[in-house]
Amino acid sequence: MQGKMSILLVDDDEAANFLNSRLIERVNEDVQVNSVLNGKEALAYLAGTYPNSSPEGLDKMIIFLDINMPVMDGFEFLEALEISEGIDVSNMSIIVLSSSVNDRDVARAKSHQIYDYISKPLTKDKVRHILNETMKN
Amino acid sequence: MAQSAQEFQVKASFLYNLTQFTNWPKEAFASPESPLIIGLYGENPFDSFLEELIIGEQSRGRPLMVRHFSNIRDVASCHILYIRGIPELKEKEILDWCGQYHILTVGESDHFIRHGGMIRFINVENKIKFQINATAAKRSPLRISSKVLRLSEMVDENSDEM
Repeated sequence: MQGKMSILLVDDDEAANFLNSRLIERVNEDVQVNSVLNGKEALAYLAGTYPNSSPEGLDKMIIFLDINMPVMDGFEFLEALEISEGIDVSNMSIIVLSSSVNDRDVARAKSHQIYDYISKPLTKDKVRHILNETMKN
Repeated sequence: MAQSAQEFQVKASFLYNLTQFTNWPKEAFASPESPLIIGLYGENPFDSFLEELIIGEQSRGRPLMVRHFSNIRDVASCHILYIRGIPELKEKEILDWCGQYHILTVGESDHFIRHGGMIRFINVENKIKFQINATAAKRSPLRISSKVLRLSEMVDENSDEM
């Protein structure tokens, strides 16, 4: 894989974050995977103010975003990101990863700048496909 | 509550990760090349998902294998045993039997921990959580990584609430 890539998991389910991190590392051990528990922490991570966050210098960042989260949910995160200053979104691909297959949720998510909307759980095939597709862009 | 395919994919994924984050004593294996066996006793909710998940995977150089059991006397060969859909008394009998071997028992019945089972799946607000029987974990020669322990709720098999 070309360039330095990192993945940020945004989900309040710590067990899911653990399992998904392991899964991604099995598909590509060179990808750096981090996780945060809600949209607010994700914004702080992207702004570089979250502990151990280092989004600068990455050629590509993929964000797997859950919708239903406390503090700041996925929709609120997408809205906040669009009006944020100082966060470079040009190298980001946001993939909504949700249990919800509700048409309204899908449409609402797709009204924002997201790369894709996929259903949980994450699988090796889904990760492989996303890594391949996003690296083409 | 109906249990979804998604839920069982998460559980299968967790079983796989237990093979990566648990240490078994060497006596648990017949030889250095022996496979690490995930056993299923009772209902198999995974269809073929678990088998597909572990294809080509290893644990510290050992190949992984899934086996289905229906006789308590056969489970000695496995390293993880997932028990589901078994009547309470039979489940207790299986757990007692497993206690003499190096088997990490995983289940989900209400009485699983009270009967000495080591890890229980629970569903909390549509999220799969893990309970670990602190007493059984301490008693066992198996060592579960702190990475897994951190994600889990430690419970006591002697607690009245179990």
